[in-house]
Amino acid sequence: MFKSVLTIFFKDLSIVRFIVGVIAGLAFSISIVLGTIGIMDGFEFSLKEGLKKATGDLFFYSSNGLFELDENIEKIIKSSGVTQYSTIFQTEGFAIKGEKSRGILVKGVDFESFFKISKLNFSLKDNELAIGSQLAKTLGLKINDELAIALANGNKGFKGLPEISSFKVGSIISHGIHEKDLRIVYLSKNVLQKATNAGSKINMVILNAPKNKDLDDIKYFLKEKLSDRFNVKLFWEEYRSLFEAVKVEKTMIGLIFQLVVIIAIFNVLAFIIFISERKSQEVFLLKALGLPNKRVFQIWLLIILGIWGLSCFASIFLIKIFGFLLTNFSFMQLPGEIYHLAQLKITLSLYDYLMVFGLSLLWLLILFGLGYLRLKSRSILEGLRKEFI
Amino acid sequence: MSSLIEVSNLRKVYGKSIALSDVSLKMEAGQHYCIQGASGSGKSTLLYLIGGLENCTSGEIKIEGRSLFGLNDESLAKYRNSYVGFVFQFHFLLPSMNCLDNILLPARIGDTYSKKIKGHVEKLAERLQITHCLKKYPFELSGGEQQRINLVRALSLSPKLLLCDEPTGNLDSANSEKVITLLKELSNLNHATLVVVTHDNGIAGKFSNKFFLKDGALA
Repeated sequence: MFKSVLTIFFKDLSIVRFIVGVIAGLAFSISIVLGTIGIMDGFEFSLKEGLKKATGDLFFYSSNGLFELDENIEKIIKSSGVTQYSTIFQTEGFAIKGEKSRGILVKGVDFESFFKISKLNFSLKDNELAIGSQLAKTLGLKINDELAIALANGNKGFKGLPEISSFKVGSIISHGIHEKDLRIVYLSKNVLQKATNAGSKINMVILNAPKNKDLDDIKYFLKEKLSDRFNVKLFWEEYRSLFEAVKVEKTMIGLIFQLVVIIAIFNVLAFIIFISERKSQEVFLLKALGLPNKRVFQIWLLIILGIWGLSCFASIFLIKIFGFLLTNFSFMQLPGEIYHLAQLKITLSLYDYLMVFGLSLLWLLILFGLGYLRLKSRSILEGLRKEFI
Repeated sequence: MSSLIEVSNLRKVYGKSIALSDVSLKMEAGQHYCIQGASGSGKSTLLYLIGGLENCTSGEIKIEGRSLFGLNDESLAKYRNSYVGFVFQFHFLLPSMNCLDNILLPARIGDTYSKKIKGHVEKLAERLQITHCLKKYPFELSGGEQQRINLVRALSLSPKLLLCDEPTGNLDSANSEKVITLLKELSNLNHATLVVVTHDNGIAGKFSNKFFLKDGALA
């Protein structure tokens, strides 16, 4: 029976063309909303991933500057449940290449423990350093090129004069965050400590939390147990205001873009009116021949759900294409110095899909309900007479 | 013994115009009836009300003792589907389906389609000499052929009640007579009660059981 009724509707080529247009319009609208939400989620996700690469899940530093990682601190770290941590000695300096120079943050790390935390895989000899991809681009550096680093050398030597050392570029790495790729240079911790006369002192500890542990719990535990001179921060706190802004924007844009969906839903309304006018002859005849209202309702609902389902499916396809363009074509790249990330990617959770698809379905069902009530309110005789006579 | 159709004090009002006013009549099973009246007299409205296509303003129609307007939508749809066969004045054949599919539409709507029904339909088509039309689309047929397809569709589920709205409206008198004879024959064959609505005195003269409607009331 469904087949017979659907044949009545879809044997008409103009209806098929109209429905394809309606599905395409709705799919585009849904994909605009999904794309926007996906880009914002992707921005947040990529930025957090990039930040994690530099600092792990959380880190602490002393407000007094340098400190030794004594037994007491190690004990506190272990009792917090954290098993992976790495110490860092970092200082500011300048990278000099010919006529070009750039202010940098030099991080001295223990390669093995640092890799466990950051997943940045590099191992350097004492005369080598690792630089960020943007710094390499800015200074025109490639692997094995020489780079001079100017560092403050503590209290020894001529005051006010920096220590200038030359290193080979042993690795070019990427955090995925423009600012970090432009500013951070990695050296062996021992080499940096020696060059700056810092002895065995460090100024930062980065930690990874076990998967079953809540980051905030660890943060508050460390804050409570470590002395007041230590500041404990989560990896994303540096960008807290930015993340909050993105969250608010996402909600607002999601709501505003419902207008785009509503415009597409009006196309569906036009389709319902079109099909009602064009096919009401058939619908009333079917009712006259014994089709109950329940079945008419089911058929309409089936058509509406079909439009919605196909639109959702097509929008997923469109999002995949958009995502591919975003990650594979240079014209889709962002100015990283403004947006922190040079490249965006679309990240959508199941909740995002359900929310956008669900809202579009809600709009459709509201219109469907109104259209159906209008059709139901007309008697068969009224319909037959109006349509046939 | 109760009548097949019992209409009591039936009234139908459309806005300010009264289509039927206080109509009461009875029809017995297996008989042939004619409802005659001028255009706008309410005869088609009465037929559609008996056929369950419309609700009345007041009054009652009982079919085999059961109130038609007391049925829920599902039961009323079933009544229209299998108890009543409608022969519409304008044929109302769906242009997107071939004639066989048009004929089998009531069976498909009622989920009662079977080879037996198809066989019954083919026999009727053979009897009405329209077997060659079954695979054709309605627009490929003449008016007379469309009328016969319309008739086979109405009889496809062997209804107990055959309701015909001006079945000879577009035909000359010779063909009109043939159609009426055929309707009587087929209703006898199916043991169905035949109700024909017409404005034509000649057609009405072919029936011994007649109701005459004037301005919505039985005259």
